[in-house]
Amino acid sequence: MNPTKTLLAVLIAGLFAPPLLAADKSSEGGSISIVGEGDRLGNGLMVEEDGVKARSVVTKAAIEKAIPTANPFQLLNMQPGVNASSYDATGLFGGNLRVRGFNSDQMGFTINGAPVNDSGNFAVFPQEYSDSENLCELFITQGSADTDAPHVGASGGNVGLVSCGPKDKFGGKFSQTVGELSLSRTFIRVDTGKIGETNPFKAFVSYSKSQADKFKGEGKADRDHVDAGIAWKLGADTDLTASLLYNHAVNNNYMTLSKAQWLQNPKADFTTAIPQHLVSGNESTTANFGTSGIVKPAYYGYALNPFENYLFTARLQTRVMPNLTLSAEPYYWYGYGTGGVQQTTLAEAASSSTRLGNGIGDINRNGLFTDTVGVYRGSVTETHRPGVTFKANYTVDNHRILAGYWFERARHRQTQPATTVDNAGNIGDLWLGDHLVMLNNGTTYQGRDWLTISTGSSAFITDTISLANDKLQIVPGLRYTSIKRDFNNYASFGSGMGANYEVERTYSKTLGSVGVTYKVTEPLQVFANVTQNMRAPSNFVLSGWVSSVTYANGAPTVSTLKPNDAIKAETSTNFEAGLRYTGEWINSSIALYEIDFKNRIAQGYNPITATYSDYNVGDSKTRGFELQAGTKPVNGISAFGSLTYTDSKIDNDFPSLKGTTATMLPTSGKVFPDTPKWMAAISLQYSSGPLLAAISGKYTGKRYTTLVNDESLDSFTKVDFDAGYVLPSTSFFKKPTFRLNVSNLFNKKYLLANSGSGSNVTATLDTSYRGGGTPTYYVGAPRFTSLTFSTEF
Amino acid sequence: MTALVYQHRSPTSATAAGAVFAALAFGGGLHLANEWKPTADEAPVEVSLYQEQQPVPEQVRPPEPRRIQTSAPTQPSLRRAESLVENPLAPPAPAVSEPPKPASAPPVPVPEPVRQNVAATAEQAYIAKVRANVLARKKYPTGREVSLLRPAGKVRAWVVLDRWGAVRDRGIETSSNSIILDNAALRLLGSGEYPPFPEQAFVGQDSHRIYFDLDYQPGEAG
Repeated sequence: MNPTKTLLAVLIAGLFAPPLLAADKSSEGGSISIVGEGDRLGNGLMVEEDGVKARSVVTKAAIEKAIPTANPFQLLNMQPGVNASSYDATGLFGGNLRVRGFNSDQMGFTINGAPVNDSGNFAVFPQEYSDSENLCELFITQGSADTDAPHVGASGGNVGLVSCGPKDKFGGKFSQTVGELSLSRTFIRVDTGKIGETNPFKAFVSYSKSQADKFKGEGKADRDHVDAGIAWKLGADTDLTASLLYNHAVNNNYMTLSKAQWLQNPKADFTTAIPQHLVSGNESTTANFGTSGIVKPAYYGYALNPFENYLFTARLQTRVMPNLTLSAEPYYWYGYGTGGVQQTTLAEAASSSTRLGNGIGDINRNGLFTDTVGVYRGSVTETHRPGVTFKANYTVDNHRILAGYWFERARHRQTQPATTVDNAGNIGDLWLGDHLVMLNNGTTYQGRDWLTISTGSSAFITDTISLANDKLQIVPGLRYTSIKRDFNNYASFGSGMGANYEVERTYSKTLGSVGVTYKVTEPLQVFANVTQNMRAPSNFVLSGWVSSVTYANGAPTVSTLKPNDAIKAETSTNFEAGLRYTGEWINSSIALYEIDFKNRIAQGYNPITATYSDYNVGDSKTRGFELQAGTKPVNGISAFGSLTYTDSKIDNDFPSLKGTTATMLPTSGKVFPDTPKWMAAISLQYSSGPLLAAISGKYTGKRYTTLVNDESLDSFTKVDFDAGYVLPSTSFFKKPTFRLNVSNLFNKKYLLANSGSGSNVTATLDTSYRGGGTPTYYVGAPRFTSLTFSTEF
Repeated sequence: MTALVYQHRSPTSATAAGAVFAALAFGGGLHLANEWKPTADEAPVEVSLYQEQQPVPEQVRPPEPRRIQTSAPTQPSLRRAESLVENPLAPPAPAVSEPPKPASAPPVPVPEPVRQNVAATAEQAYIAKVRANVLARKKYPTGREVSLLRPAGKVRAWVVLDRWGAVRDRGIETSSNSIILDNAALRLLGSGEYPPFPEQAFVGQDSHRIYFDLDYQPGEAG
């Protein structure tokens, strides 16, 4: 064989020989940038979810387009399953939220992970929490509370608000909003930017001042808000973030109207006539301080909602090992304020040692102790609430384990002092801290006087198990959640509250959940989960137990207690299954669910204690589906839509009283109040260059407003229009933007259910039943236009 | 082994050379792949740059004048191919459509650098396909913890694929310091349905590791 052929043979053989020639066994795939979708999907109203639960997210892109005063309920209204309302177009007065039939005080709310529901009754006041410019995300888990969430009052799921942290670059933002009803809002924020190289530190602080008149009746909202945040890289593996929010607002309340009153005069509200004191005598008639529905409503200046709150949250996170991250997340909430209608009268009494505090003193200092005097009295709540969550994130093989412990100790003081008012409408102290009405022995008059120490805790663990080449995820979860209420009643003038007593109750439950997701094909994912939730009774159930009391030397001596005991926590089990489709230009998901809701707590007739009070009135079942879909922009056009079907049924008849006779109201099979069968939302957006325009509509179906379904509110569709135009940046002003927001474009007239607390709704129109009455409603706000100029610098 | 090859040297070398020429024939169509460089992606969806390979003709044809791009130096025996003008604006060469001519010419020796060039082309094309697959599925993670932490960071992760495109293993080379992002990266790379290796790519390897630098950002930060 000639040498050439040999060489060739060798070379050819080399092709098939074991890879001496084979080069490195790895290649570079390159860099890939992965950014949250924001406005590039569904107008910012959804993200590509892939968890085991039905979940919806509102991104910053959507928040930025809304009116800057918008409260979180308004921002959530387009999401599937959500029936949200705001008492006016600006959002400054608050609103209501129902999801899958559950009221907002049956859902857990957090800001940056810290719980913000009222410690006693889990109420949520969305207008107190955030400034839109600093809000980066709103998320809602419909029907099931997250295992690692610090909630004891969440039978219907949870909502989270997440603030944006400080920015990397030095600069700031300024925004000014003007609009109808004298709306004015000024916002300013300054960022330090990243300072330092090895341990970079950044911080921001912002302030906003908002004012707007009511659209119905006299009065306004006046709000000051401060946000601040820091982020500090303490080490290569250790980060510290902290945020502070402060809110101070004094609002005039809206008067709710019955259907008949609204039809007669849709603008009816509190009166502008200041009730006048008499020289002496009875001021409780409707001639002055007495009130009588719409015929003689209270004075608008004595129906106030002054509230001040702040929340500090922090997170210290460190990666101690490559597969273990630990974090400590402390928080502190403080809230003080009052609400409702404060106009009332108090009867003076001559000093007598057989009265509490020797009786109410000479309120109007006219030397007489026989007057009934008009006063400003409000239910005051003051909460100090420190807490902390410890978390450990541990990965091993295909498991990602999250375990932790949440603990908080809330000190919740609830009183009801009174202060004097004069004929010009001046109030001694509208915050009810000073100039209070005293008793004859020098102590302060209180219409209620409670101190509740609520110690909440939850130990939780979840494991995200990844199988079948990461296509299958199984997530079991377990938590042991508990709240101990140490309730102290100090003798006051409230009904059933005349003596001192202390009672301790603990409500605890082991709650499990398991969920699974499976990627069937690339665009199609199925998910399913079963989650147990619970909501402890509010501290209110521990009040009013005094059935008889005698006083000596102005203090209670002998008393009898009638405990309203054996109230169990509400529990619900959420069964859910769904599909998610991730297409090239459309993402959609559908979730089918059934919720078994047990031991619903409401005011009803408890035959055991023979009282009409809070207790477990029965079960209900809710079934439905929620569909959401969002498109990616095509030629500048994109859309988002959601469709919700809810079939909710009360299982049991409702225990009530007719006169003194125990009787059952026929509620079995009836539809749950304020839970429409159908809801639909659509948002259509056109975005091109500097211009953005979006039109959105939300259809809310017919809602019943009594337990026996003998009253309902008509369905309505509300359409909003939002537009924005970004001007060219200058050397100082970056992205100067004009924004136009029109709410209720077609000026639709509609009513909103006044859902009250928890599941407490009017039982029936028939007033022969205890719990019967005429429901009153919030009037839907008329068309409202506002213009905002904002710029960064 | 060498004796066996030598016994069947004619068909063996013919097959090998034919494979080389087929690859070169498509080289024009793959000039984009040749120029492919790893870059940060902006678009949400990437179109695959790799075209399906035509079946290899069994018999060698004399080298046809084609415009090809080659980055590797060629041996004198392929001067005819090499002498063609390297024209970056040349349209992709059409697919092989002429009927194979009888193998009257002696087998053309396939020089080592050309073989490497062919392999490199196929490999780069395959990597591009895998990259396109990952780009189409990439997404920022979701969940309560993600919402609260809003993690951002760069993670250098890898995936090992076998010749059939099945995922053998995946792992983290450099962590992003966020367990959430690391897990998202592993899930992204590990859950893909990748194509099989072309024959010329990663010759002799039963598996191959591909690294990706994934940069996660939560989106608008306000």
